[in-house]
Amino acid sequence: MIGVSDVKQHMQGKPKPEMPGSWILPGVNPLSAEYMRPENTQSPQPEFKGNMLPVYVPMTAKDKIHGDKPVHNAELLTRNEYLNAQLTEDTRDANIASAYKTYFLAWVCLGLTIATYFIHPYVAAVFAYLSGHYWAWKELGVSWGREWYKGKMLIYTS
Amino acid sequence: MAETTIQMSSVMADMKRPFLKVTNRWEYLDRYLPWWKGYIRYRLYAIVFAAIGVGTIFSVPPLGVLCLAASTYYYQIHIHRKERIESKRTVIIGH
Repeated sequence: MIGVSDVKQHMQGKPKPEMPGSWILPGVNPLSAEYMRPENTQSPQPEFKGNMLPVYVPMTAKDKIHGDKPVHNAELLTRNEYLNAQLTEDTRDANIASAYKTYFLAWVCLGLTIATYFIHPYVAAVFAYLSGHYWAWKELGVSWGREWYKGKMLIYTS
Repeated sequence: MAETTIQMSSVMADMKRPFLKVTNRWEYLDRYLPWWKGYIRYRLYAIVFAAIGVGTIFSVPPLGVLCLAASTYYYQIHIHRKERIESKRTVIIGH
């Protein structure tokens, strides 16, 4: 059971969002959150707070974001659509698939840097540049494709 | 004026486990990463075994036959992994 104290604890110390709406825990209607009883004394339930993630709830349905895009607090997808968006082979997408790919390319370029150094240092410099380039994209892929999504909610049918 | 038919579509299910589960986006993706890697790996196995089988079917027939059998075996496994990833099951992502 999510109580008011949980919501207040979650909101504590966070800046006020610029968008119209409120950041609140899932399962709590923002319009009725302040009228909720602090504790469920009638039928106490075990508290499991492992999956409490913030969800953006727009207060009005007519707001637009990024131009003409309507504001939605949740998006309905199939597993195919969701996984395809994360596992595309484009290295510029900064997702987990590009992290795997650029990790491999960075090590290949590092090997080529060492191998071509004995041919000419200028040739080695090109591969050294590419090695750092791919390593940076690997870091970006891990950041956006793994760490960022650890704080984003997903509901699935079991 | 068009007629409207109201039809019962609810299903009562005595299910012990919850119907909807909440997780985060990375954990859900992490569950299917092994299936995705398996899809890539078995697709590669199927192609390699097919190439070896075609190359050796006339020179070394026993090896060629075995490799072509292995190729179809891994091809079917790769189809299974692919269908698991490309499922139409619904997910809801929150912003």
